[in-house]
Amino acid sequence: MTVETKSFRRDRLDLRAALFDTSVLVLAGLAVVAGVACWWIAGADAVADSLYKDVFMFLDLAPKMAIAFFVAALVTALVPRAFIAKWLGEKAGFKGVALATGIGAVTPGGPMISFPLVSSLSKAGASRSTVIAYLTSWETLGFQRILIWEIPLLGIEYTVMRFIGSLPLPFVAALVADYLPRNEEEKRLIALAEAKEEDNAKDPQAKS
Amino acid sequence: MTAILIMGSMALVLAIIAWRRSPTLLRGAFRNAFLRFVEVLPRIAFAFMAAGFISKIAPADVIGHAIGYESGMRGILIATVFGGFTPAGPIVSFPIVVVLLASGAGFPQVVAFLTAWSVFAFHRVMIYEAPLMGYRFVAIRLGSSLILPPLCGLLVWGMMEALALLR
Repeated sequence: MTVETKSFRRDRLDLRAALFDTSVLVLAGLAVVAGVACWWIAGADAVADSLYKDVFMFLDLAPKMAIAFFVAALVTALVPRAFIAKWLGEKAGFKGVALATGIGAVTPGGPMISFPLVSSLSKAGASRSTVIAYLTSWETLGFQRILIWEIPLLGIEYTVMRFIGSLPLPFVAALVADYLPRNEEEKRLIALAEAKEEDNAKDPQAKS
Repeated sequence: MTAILIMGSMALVLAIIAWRRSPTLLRGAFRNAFLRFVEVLPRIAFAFMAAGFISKIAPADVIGHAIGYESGMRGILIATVFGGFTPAGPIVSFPIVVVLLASGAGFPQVVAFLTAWSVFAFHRVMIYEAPLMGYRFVAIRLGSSLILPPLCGLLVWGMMEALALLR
């Protein structure tokens, strides 16, 4: 959590801050406690064996993660936020949900990127099911988590199966969200959007 | 190895696109990636050490019985509940997944755990979603997402059964 928040705020190459902070200490403490417990219960051989396996896992993981971070950073640089906002705000209905699912999957970055974006879209009148489809897609199909964590740790076969199994989820969530009750404010916004659409249908020139 | 080849070629293509747009863009992305990588390295190292030790002493028979492949729908539901209450980022939850798989958890159950963790993400709801979107939206989104983890677990279970039949 804290890791993601900080890296986006920092502009300069501050290696010391990147290497040491509270979250590193907490994880190191956890490792020490677990190590002592392992030694206590399973013996010194188990500790040595576990560390030995960790070395190989780490050597296997590190290059994959390095490339994944590079790909993620490139996509972040190439797909501007304005582009995402433009596509997400325009369409409604099934098309909107499908589009939101696609855009959610390619939205880079952590929650500090996607939530402010979604919040402003929602205020600008994007439909509830579109927003929920977008968030669900970003959560379950997001390319960044798949690249950085899933492929290196679970392997391609497991990753592909989970991805296919998750493809329907944004649509299901959007469908359910559509049936949940709305308050007065939401009803007013929907009526407003429908009236606008009718006007456009009557007089296409008025659109511009 | 396949993973490195696929991601490596993706990186290459994207790097060429970025370089053609502007070399500064490429340099910035490279620096950003390097920083994030350096940041994650010590954390993931400690997280995996902890996960390795825990998997040595985790009661594998208990985990296997509760959320093993044979536990079916019951295991999927148990994993959903645990996933929903795992308040941590990927640095902690993915090592948990590795421990679970090593201790006899079934993959459909692990998928339910991962989906519940991604969709319900207690910490993210409290820090970002509730303040920015309001509690009403949070309630509606969580309500719409309740069935997603079991659904995804079931779909993956079906896929694995179908693959087993084919083999």
